[in-house]
Amino acid sequence: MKKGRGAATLKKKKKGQAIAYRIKCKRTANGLSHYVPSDKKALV
Amino acid sequence: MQNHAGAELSLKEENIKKAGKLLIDPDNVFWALLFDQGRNEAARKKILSLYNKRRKELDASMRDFRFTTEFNSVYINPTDICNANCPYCYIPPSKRRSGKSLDNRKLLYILRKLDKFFAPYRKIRKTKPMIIYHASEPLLMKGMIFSSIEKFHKKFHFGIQTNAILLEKKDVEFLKSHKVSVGISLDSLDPKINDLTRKAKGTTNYSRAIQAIKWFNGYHGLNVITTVTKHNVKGLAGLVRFLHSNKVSCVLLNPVRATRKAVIKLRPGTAELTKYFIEAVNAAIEVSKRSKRRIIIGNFSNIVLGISAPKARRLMCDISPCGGGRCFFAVTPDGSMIPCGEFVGLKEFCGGNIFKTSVKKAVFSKGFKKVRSRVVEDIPECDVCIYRNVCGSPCPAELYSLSKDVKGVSPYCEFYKKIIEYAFALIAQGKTKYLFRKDALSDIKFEYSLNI
Repeated sequence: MKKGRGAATLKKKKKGQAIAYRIKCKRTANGLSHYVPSDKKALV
Repeated sequence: MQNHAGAELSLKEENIKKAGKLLIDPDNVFWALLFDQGRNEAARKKILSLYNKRRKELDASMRDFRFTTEFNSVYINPTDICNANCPYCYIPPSKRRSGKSLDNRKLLYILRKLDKFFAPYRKIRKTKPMIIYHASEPLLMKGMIFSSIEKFHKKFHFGIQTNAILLEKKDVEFLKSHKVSVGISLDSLDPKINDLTRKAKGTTNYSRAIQAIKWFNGYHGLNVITTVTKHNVKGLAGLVRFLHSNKVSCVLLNPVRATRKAVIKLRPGTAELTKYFIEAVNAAIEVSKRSKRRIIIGNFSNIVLGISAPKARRLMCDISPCGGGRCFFAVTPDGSMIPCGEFVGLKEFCGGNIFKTSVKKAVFSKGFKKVRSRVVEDIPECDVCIYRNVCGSPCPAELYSLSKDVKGVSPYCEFYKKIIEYAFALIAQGKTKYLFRKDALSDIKFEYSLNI
């Protein structure tokens, strides 16, 4: 697993040529709901 | 759209406005954006090398995510009766007028039964399963459901979806102190437009919903649900700004689901929906940039997650198969277990009665299996769409209600394509940080990242 620099990694470089990433999930969606629960660590 | 040259036949290419050239594997949602129209061969080589390295792992991860059946939530409708008469409600009007309600004894029976059903889940996971009190209007049974929350709050997380008409200040304190997730329905900032679709007998949900939002005062577990119709579509951005100024951190702008034929006429046109939805996304980014507080549009952020962190998605409607009968199910006041609340009234999907049969039997029933077997690969048009595993072509209940077939293309197909492309544009512009909850951003880790 690669540790990124949080929000900074989500930012496009000014003269960047390409981006590709996948954010690591701490919890799978199977632990979630189609309602939006109050989880402070959740991305959404 | 064309296949990528050489051995990388699984990667498709698409030019996206304001984003660049997209390379994507539609099956595992590996993606990369090339900003010089893909002319830089060195950048392309690096992407292909990353793709080859990660492909098997991503395939397995997506397979596991889509096809694992593991329940974490149950929607309980405590009553069919409602104090409102919203024209798009998925509960048939006859049921809302004179339907059944659970009594305290029956509700406790259901919760005890679900507690046993979830026992193995608790051993595996550290989080509690979730019970959500949902349609019609659960607060008509306020005493009963609040008492159940007090009794079972150590066993379950609780949520409630309400029109707020019966919500009082002391209720808000109760819900906050028990960390209950609360969804408040509000369709427009304009009371006249709001009341077109959120009709209530002798009162209005408008002033009550706004009062409740103020009482909650930035409560983290609050979200507002707006059903988008042809009536309110133009006011979405204004609503987002208002909610942000009232400390709401999450709003869902859900295009109306026509689970009854009469509702079709309420659908907004695709072009109009796309235009004003994107305007609302931009408004959310703009107000979030300007202040310390964020507001996210949950269903758009979920699309962004579908691209950048597919397994972190919270809304299970955008996944194929969806979460109905796979991650959650619903229990109606007569005890019927159905894959999702949207299937109310469709008897062929009922998995049995919770007062007579086991939950396990419902899980393996024909109706539940039918929803779990609906995959985008079997749907003409979706099978060749590069975004098929970002959108999931919702909703099977809506499609079945109108055509008696779950395997159809979403009526919002073109809308989804446009907002997915807009999500890629925001990714290209580095704006995604405004689309996620702030608390989580400092803690983000990556499976892989390439930024060249």
